[in-house]
Amino acid sequence: MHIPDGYLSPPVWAALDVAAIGVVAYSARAVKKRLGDEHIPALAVLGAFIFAAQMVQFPVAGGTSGHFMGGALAAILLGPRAAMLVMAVVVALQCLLFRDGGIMVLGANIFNMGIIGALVGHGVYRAITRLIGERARPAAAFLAGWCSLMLGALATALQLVMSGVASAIVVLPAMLGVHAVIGIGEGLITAAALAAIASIRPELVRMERV
Amino acid sequence: MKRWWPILLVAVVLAGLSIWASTLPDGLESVAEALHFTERAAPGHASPLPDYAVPGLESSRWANALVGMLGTLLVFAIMYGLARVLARRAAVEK
Repeated sequence: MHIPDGYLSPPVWAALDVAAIGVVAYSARAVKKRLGDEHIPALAVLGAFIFAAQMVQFPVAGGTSGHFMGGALAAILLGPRAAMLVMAVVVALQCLLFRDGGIMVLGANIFNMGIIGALVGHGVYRAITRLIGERARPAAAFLAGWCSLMLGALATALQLVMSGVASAIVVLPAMLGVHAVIGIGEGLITAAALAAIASIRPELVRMERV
Repeated sequence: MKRWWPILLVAVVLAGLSIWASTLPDGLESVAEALHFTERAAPGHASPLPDYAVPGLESSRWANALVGMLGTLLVFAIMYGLARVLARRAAVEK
């Protein structure tokens, strides 16, 4: 879902750069206060895992591929603020080191994949596990992943509409349609990764969120 | 950190598995193709390893995967350093 430069109009990407800087600065300040020594490797390893998993594109229907985004998984394990920080670092390094995603639109990419991914993933997971209980963890993780990707795609589509690239009536169904399928992959990987970590290292799932 | 090594190892292996990754256009790219706005994409900005390839070396899936594996360790190191700086600064402020 990495947007290249040129797709978004300057007012749209500039506003999202400002928004992303603000949210990431807030996250860094909030995380700093509660960061314990045990969280440092957690942030680093999850960042590396999300970076690596994003490289493995899997084919979906209609000659299209998708890849894991990771915002929901990070938010479930670390809490939403630390997740936004990790996602911002991953997306920024992809852009700066590997030219994956444009540089003017870096704020937009951090916003769509990192901020929305973490906040939606966190909200959906917490809501379901509170409502139904811990036994709903796999379903909650799946839905958190699916919803986080769908809302990231929705935000991307709305930014394209605001930039005058495509009309809402065509770009919204197109973006949501293809990402509804990629989202199944996101949901499955989120649930599987969480289950794997919970079974090999249960203490990591119980780690205090920052 | 000891508890985290296996997950870092899984991440590096995962980056290596990207030699079998699909090269089909992703969700946004395929929408851009269908709605004919791919030509709006600007030429990419300058970066040290553009598209996970070493400039000057012939790009191949193996090279991309190797860059990805090293990149995974680099992301780990940078994130670790950043988190440590944040934790140190918080400790100083207290």
